[in-house]
Amino acid sequence: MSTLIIQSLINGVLMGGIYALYSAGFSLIFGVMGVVNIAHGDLLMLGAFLTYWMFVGLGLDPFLTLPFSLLGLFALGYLMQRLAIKRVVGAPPIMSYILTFGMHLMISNLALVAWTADPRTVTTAYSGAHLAFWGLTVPWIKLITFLISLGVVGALYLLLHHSQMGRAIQATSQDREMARLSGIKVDRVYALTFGLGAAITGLAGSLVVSFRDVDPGMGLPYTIIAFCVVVLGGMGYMPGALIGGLILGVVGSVCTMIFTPGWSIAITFFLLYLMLLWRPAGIMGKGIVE
Amino acid sequence: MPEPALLRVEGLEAFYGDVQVLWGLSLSVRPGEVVAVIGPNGAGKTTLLKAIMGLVRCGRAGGGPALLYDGRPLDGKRPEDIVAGGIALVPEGARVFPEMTCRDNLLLGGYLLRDRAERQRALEEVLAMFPRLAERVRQPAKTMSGGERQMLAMGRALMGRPRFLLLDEPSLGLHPLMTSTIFQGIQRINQQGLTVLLVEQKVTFALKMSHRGYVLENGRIKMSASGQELLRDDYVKRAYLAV
Ligand SMILES: Nc1ncnc2c1ncn2[C@@H]1O[C@H](COP(=O)(O)OP(=O)(O)O)[C@@H](O)[C@H]1O
Ligand SMILES: [Mg+2]
Repeated sequence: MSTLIIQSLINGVLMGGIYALYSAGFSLIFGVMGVVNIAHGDLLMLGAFLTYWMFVGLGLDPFLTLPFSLLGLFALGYLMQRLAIKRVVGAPPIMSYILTFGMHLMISNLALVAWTADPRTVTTAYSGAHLAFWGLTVPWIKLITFLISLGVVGALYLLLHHSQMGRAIQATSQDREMARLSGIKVDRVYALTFGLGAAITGLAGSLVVSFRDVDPGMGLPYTIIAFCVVVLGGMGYMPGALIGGLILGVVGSVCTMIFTPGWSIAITFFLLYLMLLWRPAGIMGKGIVE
Repeated sequence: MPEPALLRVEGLEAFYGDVQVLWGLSLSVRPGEVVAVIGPNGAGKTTLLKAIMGLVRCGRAGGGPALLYDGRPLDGKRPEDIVAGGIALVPEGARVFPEMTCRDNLLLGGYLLRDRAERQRALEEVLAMFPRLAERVRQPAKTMSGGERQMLAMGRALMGRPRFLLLDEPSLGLHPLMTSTIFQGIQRINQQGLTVLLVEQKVTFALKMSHRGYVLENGRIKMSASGQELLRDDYVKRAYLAV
């Protein structure tokens, strides 16, 4: 019994890492621009397909596709901001919901037309490899994914707090007019931020390919989980994505063990409901509340 | 021949939406001067500074450029380009970036400097000028006192090595001791060669240290003279010095 519990805790923590990764992008974009990106999960889906096609078409190892999805999704995010999102920055939130919901519909349906609804899988020689000790198992792929996720969230944090570009992003989110008065081109900062958020989300997509199937409709649930994670951790507060991700990962995994996967979703939402009532600025109280 | 103006404002009109706030305002600032603009609340002082920085819609009665900086028009330029031209604003209420440390606020003020080494040099100069800030470099700006925040806002503006500094009520809400510290700072900055346009409600302080002054009321220039003359003027005494 205790082995089972420890195993589900391990599974939860490993899952939490990837939750944190794709939620960090969602949180960054919200924190800096005030835009709730409903097409968030679709960016993840695009990253996943990019890896899938490079694996199938070029025989490239999924982990070797990471730089491509990082750069590809950065470019896509940058363009999305420049061409469309910039019109709703600073507008009432409903405008960004409508626009990004439209983007979600467009991206996921175009993907459906292009690639059909068939789920696809990527299987590598090391897909089943795992560490085993004390009756516990840790799949290598999940462990490596977890470590990459932590590394990327950490790098994002360092970038935001210890580089001139990060300072420009922070300044723009705190006082847009003062940022301009320091010589910052805020449109470029927004495009960079959206590009960065999209890039790490695409990276998350490339990572999940290793342990789940890929289909055009896979995006929306990720948007919902990202939303839950940042509500837990605090909207726009980077370390919160990590905390929220780990909590949600562990809660989901323990509930799945005790009850069923369906219960885990119900309990997750109940938790979210309590958080919104009790601590709308997140567990650490450092998020942004409108 | 008089020295050409660093800033010449001619017939400036400024608007918030359809509401006109400045009505054909003219003034000039020569290189090396401290020029004060005084006037009651709501007169349009802040709006004047915002117009210079490209933050409000403005134009000139009868057409043509209303704002000439170094002989070139500023009209229609974006704030970030105006800042790049060497003008810096210390806004009303300081408006430091609250979640960032004192040091990060300053480094951000040097955003347009060429490289890290130059930002570091500028940082050292500013910290030497405001030793109070040097003791607080790691402190989040939101936890600093009002006077410290004002110094930080001035330091942040100086980090970009401007030629022309606009100050919007730097003594607002400060106790007298801190007010004189701030004014001494402004005087030192001016002695180092910076031209200053100072908006103030502490009229005596401001006029004493200014070469020239303007009285702004209801979006129009009511009068202008040297700082000393304004201090002796009957109207200024009655309306602003309460004597
Ligand atoms: N953002 C704004 N929108 C509309 N009206 C404004 C705005 N800011 C200032 N005003 C109006 O413009 C006038 C001048 O304001 P301001 O320049 O702030 O005056 P001062 O700085 O001299 O106190 C006031 O009547 C004020 O109500
Ligand atoms: Mg004002």
